[in-house]
Amino acid sequence: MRHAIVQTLLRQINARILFFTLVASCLIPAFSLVALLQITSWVGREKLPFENLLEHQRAKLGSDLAPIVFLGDSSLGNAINIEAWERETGQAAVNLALTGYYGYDGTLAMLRRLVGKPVQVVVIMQTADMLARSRNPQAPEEIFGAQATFRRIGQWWETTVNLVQIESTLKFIAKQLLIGLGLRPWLKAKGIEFSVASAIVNDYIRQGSPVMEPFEGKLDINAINKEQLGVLAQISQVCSQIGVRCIYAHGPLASPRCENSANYFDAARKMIVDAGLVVASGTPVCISPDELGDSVDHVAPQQKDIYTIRYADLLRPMLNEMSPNVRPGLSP
Amino acid sequence: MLFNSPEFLFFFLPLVLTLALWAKNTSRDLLVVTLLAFSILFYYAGAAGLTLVLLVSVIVNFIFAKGIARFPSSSGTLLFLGIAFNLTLLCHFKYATFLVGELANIGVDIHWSNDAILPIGISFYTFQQIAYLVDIHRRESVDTSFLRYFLFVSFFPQLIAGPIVHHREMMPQFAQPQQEMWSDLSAGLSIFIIGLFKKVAIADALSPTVAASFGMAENGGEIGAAVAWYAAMAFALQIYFDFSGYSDMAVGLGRMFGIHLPINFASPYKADSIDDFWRRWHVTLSRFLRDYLYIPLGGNRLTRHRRIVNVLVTMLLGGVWHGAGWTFLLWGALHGAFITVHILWRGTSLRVAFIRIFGTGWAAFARAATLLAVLVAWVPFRASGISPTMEIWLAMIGMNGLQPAQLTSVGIGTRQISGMAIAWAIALFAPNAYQLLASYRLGTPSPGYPSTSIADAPKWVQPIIGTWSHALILGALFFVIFIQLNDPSEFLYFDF
Repeated sequence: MRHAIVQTLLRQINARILFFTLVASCLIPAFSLVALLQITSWVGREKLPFENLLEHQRAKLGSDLAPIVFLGDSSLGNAINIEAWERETGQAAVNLALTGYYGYDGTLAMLRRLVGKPVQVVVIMQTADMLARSRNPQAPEEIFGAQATFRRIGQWWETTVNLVQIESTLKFIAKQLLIGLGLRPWLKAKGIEFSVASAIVNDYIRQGSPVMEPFEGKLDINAINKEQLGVLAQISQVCSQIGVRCIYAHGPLASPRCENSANYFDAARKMIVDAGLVVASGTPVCISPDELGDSVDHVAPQQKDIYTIRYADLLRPMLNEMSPNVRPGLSP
Repeated sequence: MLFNSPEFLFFFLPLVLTLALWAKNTSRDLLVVTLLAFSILFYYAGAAGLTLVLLVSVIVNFIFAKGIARFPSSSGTLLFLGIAFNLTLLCHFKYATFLVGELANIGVDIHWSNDAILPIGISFYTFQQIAYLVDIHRRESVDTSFLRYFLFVSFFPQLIAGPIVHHREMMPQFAQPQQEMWSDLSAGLSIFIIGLFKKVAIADALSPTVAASFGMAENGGEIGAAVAWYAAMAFALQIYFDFSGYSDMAVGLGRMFGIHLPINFASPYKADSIDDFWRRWHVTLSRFLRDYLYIPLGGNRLTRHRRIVNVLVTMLLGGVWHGAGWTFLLWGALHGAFITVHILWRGTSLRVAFIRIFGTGWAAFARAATLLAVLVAWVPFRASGISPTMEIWLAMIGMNGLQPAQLTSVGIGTRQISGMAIAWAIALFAPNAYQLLASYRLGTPSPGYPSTSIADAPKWVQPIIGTWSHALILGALFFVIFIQLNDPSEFLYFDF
């Protein structure tokens, strides 16, 4: 039997059959996997953290927005607590932080979604090295552009077919099988959850374990990406077109890398101003090692209110220049 | 658009393949038009407005070519102007910012700012067109059909990062493409999957730790020998699997349309001399530099001293071709110096004596010495400046101690080390893709580059090729690629 299988596998086939077999052996397993990922998602597989975050933030866009809007990535999501902000400044605001994956293009797409809303000020807060990262123009396509483009396909692919989704799917299937075998009480007793999703906590994705190592080194001026500056210029144009004042603030960054990168931030300030945006003085706020969360630019959850106040102090002079109707319906 | 992106693999490629095969069976001209239209679309999807630079470059070069062909008495002047146009375009986009910055550093302030973004593939298509102009001037090219010329420059499998093709090997194929459709499709798809695997499963897997270990030196940290050696060895693998993977994909894509592209890599880390290395690494750049720079400078025909000068000039310009920066210049200078040492060494009687004394052991030593030289030279190629280069070199010779604990801080553990060991074993001992698929005669050899002439597949692989297991093995490789396609990264040579 085994011999026959080996003989079959090693039998020469003509070029036409070989080509179609090659195509089939590439596509059948691949698309079976895609189908599995999609079907398990439809039948109740838990969403991943970034998917929960997108839903959470998109829901806010559906309602009336406050006059101050924060747009940016996880450095913003982990640093600004809107309740603390409103207590401190008396100004209504909303935090629409996404993740670093969406980059400036995500911010641009979000900004376009603000057209027609009663927004007066947009604070853009991205992680300190966002200027040096590669552009990700396809990131916001599916969510905000909704055009049937190659980019949208690529974006769907990136968020749907990846190792994290595969892991989540395998866990979901294992869990369903065990439950099907009547092992739910045993799973409960063992405390096995099989879930990779984490809830939104305090308006952002729940953090992991804090980083214990210090972040040395510095950000490199030469690494600043001209393409990213181009997106900032587009952001500035949209701000003018929709009559919104846009302020750029660097998200917090761990010490001592933050202090070591003074030259980078000087250069970045000039370039961002050249792109047409106002930069908040004193940003980034440096994070001391004992206040650091689970990443180089994440404030520890228990420090979020303190950093909100620090940023409020830095942004206050710029916000005070706004008209009084920025604070509707708020009693300090 | 990247070859390793889902939109290319599952939409663009099937579409262009279907239409091109239909066109191929209808008329040759229709095939050329179809491939040209999709090549422009492919470039536009990645370069958007910069497609205009490609169009201008092609049109202006074609006008120069026509002029050179039609007016023999002025062909020298027209050739000069044509080359000047190409070099101006290249300098504007690639070197101007660097030159202005360097002049400012020595106190010569030119009040000029250049916000130009480098059009992808400009170094490749500029070189191809310079070669075309030179050959028209030499009366070595006769085909001046605009559509075929445009396709020769913009053919999407090789447009972005080579191989740098020669009009003599491409334009006749566009006029008379191959007709073995199913064999071409099987062969092309097979090597395409191998190339994709090299890029996605090997090169991209090395990328984060390479970035972290070079980053440690670039951020001013004192790095130990362990991280420094890891950085050099891992980058050597990353760039090899990345670029050779891209070249394999390009050859495979070309073959799917019945177009044979030249072999660009022939197991370069198996080279037994630096001379041999350059006959195996980026072969099409090497032969361009040989034919259009080294030989016109006098090549081997003059004195040994003059030959050494020619080698140094060629390698320096070869280094600068990769990018505007002192690090690329240093990389070119190092290779020039290595080749010079090799020329001098070959002329001594010591070499013969050593071979007699050490026998077969000498070949192993020669390979190891060549590899070491190449590894050392990769450091400036990857580093962001001369200072981190020096930092890594000093660390490699043990100036900062071994410091193995640093490995974990840049994310290097047992998994990364064993992965790198496997990748080195493949690079050093495994047959390359062209040897594995030798029966399909994939990739054209380049005269003077013996390693690109592939005879037969290794005996152990022969019973598998063209069988069901051939398809199943490559299908399994594709599945590994497929689950990692979620974050398609750019090819390193897109920057050059």
